[in-house]
Amino acid sequence: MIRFLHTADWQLGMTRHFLDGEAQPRYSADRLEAVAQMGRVAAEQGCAFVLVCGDVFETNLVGRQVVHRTLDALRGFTVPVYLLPGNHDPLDPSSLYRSPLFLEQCPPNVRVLDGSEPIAVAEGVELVAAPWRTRRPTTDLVAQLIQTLPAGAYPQRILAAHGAVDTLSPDAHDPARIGLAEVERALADGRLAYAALGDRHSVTAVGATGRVWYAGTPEPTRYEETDPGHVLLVDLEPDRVLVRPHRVGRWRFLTESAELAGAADILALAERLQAIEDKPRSIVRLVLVGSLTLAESADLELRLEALRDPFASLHRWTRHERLVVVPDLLDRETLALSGFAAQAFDELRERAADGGDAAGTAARALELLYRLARGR
Amino acid sequence: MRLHRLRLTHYRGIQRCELHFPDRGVTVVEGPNEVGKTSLAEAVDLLLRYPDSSADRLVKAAQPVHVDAGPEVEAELTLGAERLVYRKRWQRHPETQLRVLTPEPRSLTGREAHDHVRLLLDASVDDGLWRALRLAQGTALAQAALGSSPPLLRALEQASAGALGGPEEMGLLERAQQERDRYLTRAQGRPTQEVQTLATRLREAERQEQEALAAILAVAQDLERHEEVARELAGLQAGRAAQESLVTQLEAQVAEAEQLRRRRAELESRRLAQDSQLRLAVVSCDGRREHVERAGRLAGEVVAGQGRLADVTQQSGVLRERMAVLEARQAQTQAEVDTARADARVAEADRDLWTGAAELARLEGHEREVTAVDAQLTAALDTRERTAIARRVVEQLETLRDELIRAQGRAQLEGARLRIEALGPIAIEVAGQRRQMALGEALDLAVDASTTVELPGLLRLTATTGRDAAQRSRDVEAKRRALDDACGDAGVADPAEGRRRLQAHEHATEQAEQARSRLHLLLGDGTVELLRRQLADQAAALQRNRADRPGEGRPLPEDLAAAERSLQAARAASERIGRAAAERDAELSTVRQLHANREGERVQLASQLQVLEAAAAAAETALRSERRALPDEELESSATTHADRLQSLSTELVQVTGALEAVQGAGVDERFANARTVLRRDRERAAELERERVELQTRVRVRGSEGPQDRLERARTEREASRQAHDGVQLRSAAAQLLHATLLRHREAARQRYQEPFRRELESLARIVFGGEVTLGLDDDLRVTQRSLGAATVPYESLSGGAREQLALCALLACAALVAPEDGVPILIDDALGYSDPLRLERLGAVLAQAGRHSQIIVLTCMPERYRNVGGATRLRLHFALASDPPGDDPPPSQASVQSRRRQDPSPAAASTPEVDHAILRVLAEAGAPLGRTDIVMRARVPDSSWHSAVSRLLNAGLVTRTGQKRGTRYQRANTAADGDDN
Repeated sequence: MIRFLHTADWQLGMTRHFLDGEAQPRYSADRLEAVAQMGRVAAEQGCAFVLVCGDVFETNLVGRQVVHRTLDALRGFTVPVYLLPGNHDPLDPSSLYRSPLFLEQCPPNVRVLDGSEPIAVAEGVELVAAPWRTRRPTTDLVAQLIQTLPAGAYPQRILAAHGAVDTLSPDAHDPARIGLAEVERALADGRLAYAALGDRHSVTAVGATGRVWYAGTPEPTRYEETDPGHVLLVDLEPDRVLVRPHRVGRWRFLTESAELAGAADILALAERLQAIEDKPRSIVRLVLVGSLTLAESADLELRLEALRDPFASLHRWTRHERLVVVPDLLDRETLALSGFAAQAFDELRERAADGGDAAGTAARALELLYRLARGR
Repeated sequence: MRLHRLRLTHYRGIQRCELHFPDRGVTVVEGPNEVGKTSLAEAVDLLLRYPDSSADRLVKAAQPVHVDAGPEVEAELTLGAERLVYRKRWQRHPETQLRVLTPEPRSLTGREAHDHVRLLLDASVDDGLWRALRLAQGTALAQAALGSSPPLLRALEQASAGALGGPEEMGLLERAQQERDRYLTRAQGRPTQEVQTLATRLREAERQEQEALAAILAVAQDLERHEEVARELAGLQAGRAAQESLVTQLEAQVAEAEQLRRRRAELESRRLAQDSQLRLAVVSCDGRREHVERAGRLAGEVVAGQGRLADVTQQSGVLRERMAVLEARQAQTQAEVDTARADARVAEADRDLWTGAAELARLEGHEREVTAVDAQLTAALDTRERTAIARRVVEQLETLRDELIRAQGRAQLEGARLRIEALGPIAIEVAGQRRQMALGEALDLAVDASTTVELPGLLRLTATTGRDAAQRSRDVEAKRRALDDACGDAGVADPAEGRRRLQAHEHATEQAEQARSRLHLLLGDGTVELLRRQLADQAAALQRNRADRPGEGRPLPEDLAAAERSLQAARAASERIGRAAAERDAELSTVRQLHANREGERVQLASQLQVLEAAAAAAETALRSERRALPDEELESSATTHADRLQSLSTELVQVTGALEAVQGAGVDERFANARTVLRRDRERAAELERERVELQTRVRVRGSEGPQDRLERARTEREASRQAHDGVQLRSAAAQLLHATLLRHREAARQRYQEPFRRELESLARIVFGGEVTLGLDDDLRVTQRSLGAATVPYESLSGGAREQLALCALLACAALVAPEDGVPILIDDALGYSDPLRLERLGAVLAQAGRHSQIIVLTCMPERYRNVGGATRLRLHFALASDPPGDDPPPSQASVQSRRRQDPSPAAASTPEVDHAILRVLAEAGAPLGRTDIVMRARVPDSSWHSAVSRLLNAGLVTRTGQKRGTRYQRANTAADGDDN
């Protein structure tokens, strides 16, 4: 039995533009920390090696600092690390795997899978890789590789590949899609023992064999990812494969929806947000629907403002927000407006309610009026 | 506030004075100058505002001279809901006493009393209104800014259904403006520096992002190009081996083709030489054949020439003989011709002889006729000479005769007539003449002077006429004589003869003319003599011809016709013989010509024959010579040999050419050249691509090593942040603008609305003064800006002093009428209306009376007549009192007295320097905010003329500070309390 760590899609060098201030550097640092954590996991779990199936870097054009820090982190690994070039960091002329910096700084335990020749990784176990050589291959690299494999189930072969499998890719015209049927045939006739894939950011078992897996990204990068933040511990035995996801990521992308109709809803939302753990590593976007009075709206704003600091990011997803501020007479009474100010209030209220182009501006003007009248 | 009673004791020049005022209506307080009317208003201020401990200059100024007692003021008034009696004494034995009468009676003293009243005052009396509702001489022309008076605004707001907000709302508007100011400049509405900075930051971030993106895009393009280059290079590499093999194969084929080409060239050269030799042999054979033919032909031609020469010689001899015969015959013919011609000449002479004789006869006849006509002419001329008489003479004679006849007619008609009828034949004698009368014959006679009828022998009858008849007879006689004389002159017996002579004359003239014409016809231009000379010449010529006639012996023809016939016959014979002679001449000439021709031909033929014979001999000689050199048979066999060799060479050439064409037809040369070009080009292209590939690779590595992705990520983060900031500001800016604009709009609308009640009230009062058509324009502070009377509109500043004063009064009264009773204060009018004329004063009286229905109006005046027209006014009179009234002893309500000591009591117009300074400082202290000059002068009630010196002093002393310039200049109290003003 051999155990190894299967991971992919680190995409180091990527930033999130909606993170401002100190959150962005923290996010970047934690992503690198996740890599370091993998080294520790690999050691603890007795992995023979670490296999990274593509998109180690966000692009071939990332800065020197990113490369430096990544190689520093990998230097700390006690097991060999195999890096597969993917669509983000292909082996094209710009490939950073061939840059002087990488070649100089690359530690001895790190090897780039830049050829299709088998690499013996253990007794009776080989690694065969299908590296990306351009950003847009015109063929199924995996199928091409499988055709060159000799028949026979010994040695056991681990496939390292990157890209979408045809059963999951929506793009039927993409010539580079990985044909699952071909992979499964190779698995069936023993030419392959396990297919380690990268590209999807969510941990995914493909097909019914239990031998084809996407490892997902170790730290989440987007709201849309399903169950990110893992690596896979793969136990390869002569007659079976055992795959266990292991959590290494700490950040979370959360979308919180709430329907607000009054003070109680605001309070509930605030409590919900308050209950979120590890706020400094939580990126939260709010989808708010419903209608509030001026006073309630001001209250909501106050509460969100108070909650904002602990989070890495807490913001309203305005594109999907359907929250209307409907000032009522109570607002006017609260403000004790009279004379022309009361009339101006009524006019703005009507404009905010008529839903026209200027309704949003009118609503904001009312909020401003509310604020000014309250002396804040 | 209502003032019910006021009592002053030891106040300035007033020793003691007490006045009672009704709650409503106009109270006119009359008094001469300096009696202290102005002190009344000032005393109320002092009482209400200054504690008894105050050492204010105003308090000090109230101290009477030479009296050892402090000034004291007591007033009974209603403040808010309380009615109270309030008394204060300053300086000496200061004291404050307050007695609340209603609603809960109680008494307070000292500071407690003062503070209580201040509280009541603050709650119920608007200080601004209190000051505004005063109209004093000299300050009236400046209108009070009533629009800033809260009670009035409250009243107006109430009247205009609460359209106008209070200070809260105004504060809100101010804050909205401040909020707007954060985003837009107030002056031009442009984005503020902060907003502009955000926009600039966003643009810069976007630019940075675009730059970073461009750098990445450049790498991407290079990569794409690199891929293309690599693909093309691989393609070139794969195709190169096949191309090289093709080139080798084609090269061998090209070498074979070259060999064939050389062989063909050699064959062609040999065939060309053989062809030349063959042609030479053929030419030699042809030449020999030609020479043989020519020798034969020349020999034949010589024989033929000799034959033709013999023929021609024989023909020439025949012709010569014929020519001799013809020449002999020609001599004979010539003699015959001469004879015939001589005969013809004789016949012609004979005919001419006969013709001359005929001409002579004609001339003779002609001469005779001419002679006869000439004789006729002579006779006619002769007759004409004899009968010569003028036609005029004849006509005169006939006229005379007619006159005579007419005279006779008259004599017969008018004279006595004698009728003689013959009764039987009888002879009678009338006037001596005998006459025979037959039976029945009647004779009618005119009786003239002496008419006698006589029967011879028997009777003589003489008839005579009277005197008239005699006259007529004389007349007849005279006429007759005239006729006779004329006839005598003309040589005729009577007119009838004259007429006959005239006719004969004319007839002779005509005959002479006819003869002359005939003669001319006969002679033409000639004359008779010429004719006769011709006749003579003709006769002589005939004579001569007869004598000279040829043809002697031959008889003369008998007449002209015979001569003519003879001539004709002679001529015909001559012509016939002439023609025969000509024919023979022609024949001879023809024969001569033919002979000459034949002779020429013979000579020519002989010459040609000689040439031919020479040529034939030469040809024969040459042919023999050639045959000796090369016999004909050898010549023919050489030509055949050359032809065979040529045939053999041609066959081989066809074979070689066929082989070459087979090779060339496959385009070997072109394909070989093309294949080589393709190979070369592919190599060049591969080298070029390799260079580009290396270049691209280098460039991509260099650019990639610069980390453009990091730069892009940073730029995007910055762009995102700046966009959020920018968009947020834009949204807030729009909201602030909208809020401010909306508030401003509604406030303006409200201001418009709340002005309306004031305007109505003011215009209703102004109509009393200016008439029913007056309308007024107001500004925001409710000052009158213009007055319109019908169509005539005049700005306020251009109105007369009187009109301005009247409008100012109306405005005060309108304001007082609108203010709620609990907010109201008494209206104090201090000797105003000095500018108004009596008519207006009368109308103003009505205005005051009208206003007095709702308000308490107190008029202080030294000119009571100005207010005489105020109906229902209460009149109080101040006078210098001679005796002291005991304190507390109330005078009758309608009476007042002033116990005064004469002293200089400066009026505001002549206020002392310290007083002016103090008043200004007090106003500034009370205002608590910067004020303009107009406001200060009005509120402090100091003369405008004292302003400059006063403000200079205060500024120099550091008591007042100044901000702004020109009309915007504002003054403020400096932060000191040096003057001890405790207010």
